[in-house]
Amino acid sequence: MLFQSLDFLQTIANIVGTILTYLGPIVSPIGDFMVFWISYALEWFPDDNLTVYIVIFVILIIASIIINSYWPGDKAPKKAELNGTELTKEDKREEKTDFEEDLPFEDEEPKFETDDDLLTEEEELDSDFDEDLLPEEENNK
Amino acid sequence: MIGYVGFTIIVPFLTFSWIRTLEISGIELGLTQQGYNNIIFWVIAFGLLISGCAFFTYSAPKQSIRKGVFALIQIILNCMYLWSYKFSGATAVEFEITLYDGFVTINLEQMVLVYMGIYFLTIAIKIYDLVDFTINRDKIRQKRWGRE
Repeated sequence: MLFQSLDFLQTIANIVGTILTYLGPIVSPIGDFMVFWISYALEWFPDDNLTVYIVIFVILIIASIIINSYWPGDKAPKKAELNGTELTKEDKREEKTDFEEDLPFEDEEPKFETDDDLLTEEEELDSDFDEDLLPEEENNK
Repeated sequence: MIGYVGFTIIVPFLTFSWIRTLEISGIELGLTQQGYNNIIFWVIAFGLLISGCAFFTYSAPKQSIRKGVFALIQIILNCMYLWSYKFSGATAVEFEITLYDGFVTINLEQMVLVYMGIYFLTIAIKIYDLVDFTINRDKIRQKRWGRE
């Protein structure tokens, strides 16, 4: 036969034959069970009109594009979105603090000085010369 | 998805179209079963469903429940697709040798049964995945969002 004359095909046939021989008794009964329910399920599929399958295909593609674009799943949804309400000021503040907590040390936002943080002239002079910082001998004088 | 369309629709379509008028060593072999159109119908029908599901599965987030559900549906459709070959008569391909007025029949049913058994195991794995994704949903989400 033609197929037997080619060594390559003969080797493949031997391998497949061996697999079938050894796996057959174990896997075939499972296959029978699969065939049983598949035959039953296939009765429900229309076998005269491709339109149904084309419509399902199109629906799957469109649904997939919409669902996976709106919910890509790579970032956490906002709390308000989960509840189905609008974001309140408190939610926004919480989200902001959550975000800051997530930042690594180097990326933390710098804190700017406000007027309250600035020293008065007297405080500034005091801070220039602090007696407590002098050595003990000078302090005693 | 293009790969699935290729492997489930285009390749089988071309193969069946080719073996319909096959000539080996000068002997003309013809695919005699009436079900040629039937085979093509099921190949296209299930090919479309499998490709649609594959598109959904691969565009869904990693380890998400929706991915698990559609992966499971895809495997079940694969089983039906494979069995539709038998259903349409393609597992017992009968060739007509026109020169000698004879027949050659290739019975692939046993091979399909083994494949079905393998698919059963795949279904078991997909169900396990789905249960795992459902139970560990919060952990998976935290990991995905980078808040371990």
